[in-house]
Amino acid sequence: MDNTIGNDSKPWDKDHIQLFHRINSDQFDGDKSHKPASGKGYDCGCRSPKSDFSPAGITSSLASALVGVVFDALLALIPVVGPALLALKETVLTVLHAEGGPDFEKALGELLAREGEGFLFGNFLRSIPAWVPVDRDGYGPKFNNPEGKEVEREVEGILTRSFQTSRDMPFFQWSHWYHWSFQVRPIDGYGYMLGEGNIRNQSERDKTDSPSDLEEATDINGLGRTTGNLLHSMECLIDVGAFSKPPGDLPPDPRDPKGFRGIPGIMFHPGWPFWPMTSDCFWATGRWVYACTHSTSLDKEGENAGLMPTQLNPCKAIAFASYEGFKFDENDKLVPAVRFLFFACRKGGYLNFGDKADTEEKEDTCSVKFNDKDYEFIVDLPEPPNAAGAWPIGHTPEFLLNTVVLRPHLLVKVEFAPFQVPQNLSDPLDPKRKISNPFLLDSSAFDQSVQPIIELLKPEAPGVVPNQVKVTIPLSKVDKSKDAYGVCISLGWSDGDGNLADRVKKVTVRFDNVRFLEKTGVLYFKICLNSRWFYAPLQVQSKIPIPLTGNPSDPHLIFFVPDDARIRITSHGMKRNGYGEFFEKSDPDRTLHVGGIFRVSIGELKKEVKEAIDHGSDVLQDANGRFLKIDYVNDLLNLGPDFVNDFLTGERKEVKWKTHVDPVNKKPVAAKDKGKIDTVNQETGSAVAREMFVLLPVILANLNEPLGMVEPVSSSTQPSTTFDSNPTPMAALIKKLKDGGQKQLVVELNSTAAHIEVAGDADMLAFNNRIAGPKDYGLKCVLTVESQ
Amino acid sequence: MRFILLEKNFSPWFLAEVMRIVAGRDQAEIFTKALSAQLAAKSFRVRMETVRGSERSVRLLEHVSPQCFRVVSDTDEMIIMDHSTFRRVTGRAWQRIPFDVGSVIGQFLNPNVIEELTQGTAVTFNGTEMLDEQLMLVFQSIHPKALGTDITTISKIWISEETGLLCRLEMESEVKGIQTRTVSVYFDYNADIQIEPPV
Repeated sequence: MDNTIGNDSKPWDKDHIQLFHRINSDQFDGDKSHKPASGKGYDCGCRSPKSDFSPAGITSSLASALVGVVFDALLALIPVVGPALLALKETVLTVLHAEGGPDFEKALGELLAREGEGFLFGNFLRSIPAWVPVDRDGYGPKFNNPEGKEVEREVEGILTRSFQTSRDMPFFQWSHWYHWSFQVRPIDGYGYMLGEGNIRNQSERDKTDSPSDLEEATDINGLGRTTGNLLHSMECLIDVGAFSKPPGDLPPDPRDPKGFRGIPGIMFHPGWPFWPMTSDCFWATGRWVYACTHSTSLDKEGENAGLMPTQLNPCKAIAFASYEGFKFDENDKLVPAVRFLFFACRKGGYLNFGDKADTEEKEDTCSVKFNDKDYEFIVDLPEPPNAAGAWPIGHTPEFLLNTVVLRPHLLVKVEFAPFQVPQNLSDPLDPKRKISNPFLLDSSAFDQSVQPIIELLKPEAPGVVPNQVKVTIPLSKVDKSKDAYGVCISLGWSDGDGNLADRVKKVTVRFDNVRFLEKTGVLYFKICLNSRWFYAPLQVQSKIPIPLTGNPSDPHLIFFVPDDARIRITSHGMKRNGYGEFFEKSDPDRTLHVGGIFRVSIGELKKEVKEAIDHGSDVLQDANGRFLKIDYVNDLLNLGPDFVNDFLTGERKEVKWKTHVDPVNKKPVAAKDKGKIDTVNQETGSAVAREMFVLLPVILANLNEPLGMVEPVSSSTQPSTTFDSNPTPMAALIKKLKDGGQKQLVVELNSTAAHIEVAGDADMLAFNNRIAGPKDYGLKCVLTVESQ
Repeated sequence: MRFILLEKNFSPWFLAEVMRIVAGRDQAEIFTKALSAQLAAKSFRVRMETVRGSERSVRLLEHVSPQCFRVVSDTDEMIIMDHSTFRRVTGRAWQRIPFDVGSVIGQFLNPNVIEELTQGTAVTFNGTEMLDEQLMLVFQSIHPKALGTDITTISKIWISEETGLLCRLEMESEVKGIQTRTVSVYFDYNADIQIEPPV
């Protein structure tokens, strides 16, 4: 990445990597005056299991009884799983007993604080909320930034990873579907977006500091060892389910009710032009947040106060580009082209983006508006054709031409999302049957009327052909009734003499097979070549190579690649376990509910409390069979009518992000109340945590396991020069084709995926980059190169 | 799960007895068949006793295939009928639990999950013993660092030579210095056990 770029310009990149640059951004920090985020997520509303779990006094005999009966029944039926279950149960119960009392919930809080590692529910309380806006003062509404309010933030850089996640919080309120993780190494102007907390925590350092299994070559989600290191990355997350329909919402198929149908995201559909991959140039804008699940400490205050990494989540818009062969209507053949894609969505997942016309925030929106800004970019053009050549001219009709204009002619093609993705698809199990496209907002949700503005940029030197354009995306013109906007702008040159077409070779790619060395079972395998993504669900039973040809998503494709481009391959995926099966349930089945502790009126509840006291009882049984201490019920009744109505009485209700997970204050906290514990807030978060805990199927079922990754290993500054590497320069392949004197060149590329582990208490993926390290699978790919 | 045959210093009589019984038979197959028979049994009862430190609890579990359970302890009683669960604390009324315990149990019956949970388990054939006047084949399994914890569990399993069914299970482990021992005695296989929804 060239660091000489400013807020109004960028040099033309001859390597075709930094193909575009956002300009005139009010977020670009040219003079490096912006302070990095402090990382102090606890100050902005993140919760710590150590101090924020409410020791409610609920003797949750039901929860412990359920754990017990599940254990007993399974031990009776399948004695060999006993030790594994015992490990889980005993650890919980031992901690309970060590605390010296029956107060299950208090002990659970302690357990979360001390024994979080390896326990999913350790992340549960940290996930309430999972993300809070940077600079917010506690639960708001005040912000401690110069603007005094939540501000949309941007980042631009090179992607060090790009993959679909496999272990998100599975409840619908947090994840409509698996997220896509874009890990961006920011350019200078956005370096401040990496905060002081974008570092590894102790549990991760324990895993990665030598001596250990994961040594120096380990990358943990782009996190640094020290702050201020721009070689590390910041994560930008998109909830794929926010603009795609999760597969659980498809009608069940009687032939295969548990089978996974469809594709895990619109980016895998062949009708979607391309989607970012590792080593691509990338820009995003959205909500700047702290990831509360990743803290350096559970202490909220003091010298050891926990720090959290920054993220953009959700992303409101992303932009990326591809350098490839493209067929313009005006040319006979494909020519080198730069294709720039901008995609924006009002739906963000846990929160959406409001409309500029909204007078106040809605229950499901954050403060960032979807359509209150336009965005300008500089986009590189491909190298123009040579103007030289023999052009016989003279008086017509003796000569064919009497005038020749040597100025190259720029060709532009503009296409709008959802591009070539149809509204209806063939059922993969029954191709004659049409089913609603599972991974698409209704096509009417896309605004296709807003035209981007494309202007040629005048070169500095006179007489030189322009090599850049300015693209303006007028997102502010997107209609309030539309949820998404996407546009792909393809830019190339008219090719009168065919010289440009000669530079583009046809590359037929066949992913022959994949051989898994460790994992068996249901594996969801995702492969990408030059930003085109393919998906292969596999049932793996052995280490025998599995052919990918013939798969419903057969990645047997034809690419057209310019002679100065590269061929890049990446792959990832997951082994789907019980956790993944839960993820594939319908939205309602994954929706968390809370409240309704007593399904009686406030008056009746008070009467029951009085009667219990009169009868000498110190407990009251709730609607779920739990016994609550009378003192605790009285305390809850004193928290005011809002809390009582929400949590104590009435029907159970859906957990809402801004009401229950991240309850934002409607007005600033009075000075006299600063530093006081917000009891209602604390009780609310704890109630949600308890509901999560009770959903034992999710906790007990196996987590998905990430597959290893094949990645284009050389960095943008160290382009590969051999044809058997990843990335592979086309120039090397073309030279071999010419040297061989054949019409076709067949090249086999064998890639090996490094093993991936889950490291530390925040469930981060650790990528082991050592060449000699353990491997997960081998991928065999065959390329056939020829003229088009 | 890994199956290992260990050389042990049996007494001559014992060794001869073992050899007589298991000559020509595959111990791994006996063990695997017993586990399958357990899942396939129409019904059975188990008396479970757990001692954790100085505390002791006793439960009686009744199972009717495919997914009905009744668990009675000193403090409460639970009935699971497929996807319905009921509970009563001793001396109180029955309550329907708004939680699908049957599904949780069902998830563990998935062979892939069982395989995952038993990874790292080593089973050895320990010889024979007489138990309640029946000849038993005794197996020992060691499951180190279960689920990534520091907990290592040693189990002993008694399988009837005559019926091939599981008769007794002992599990011992130590968690943070506290010894835990669970003994399960299986009986009344395929008896006529009735479990009905209480409300």
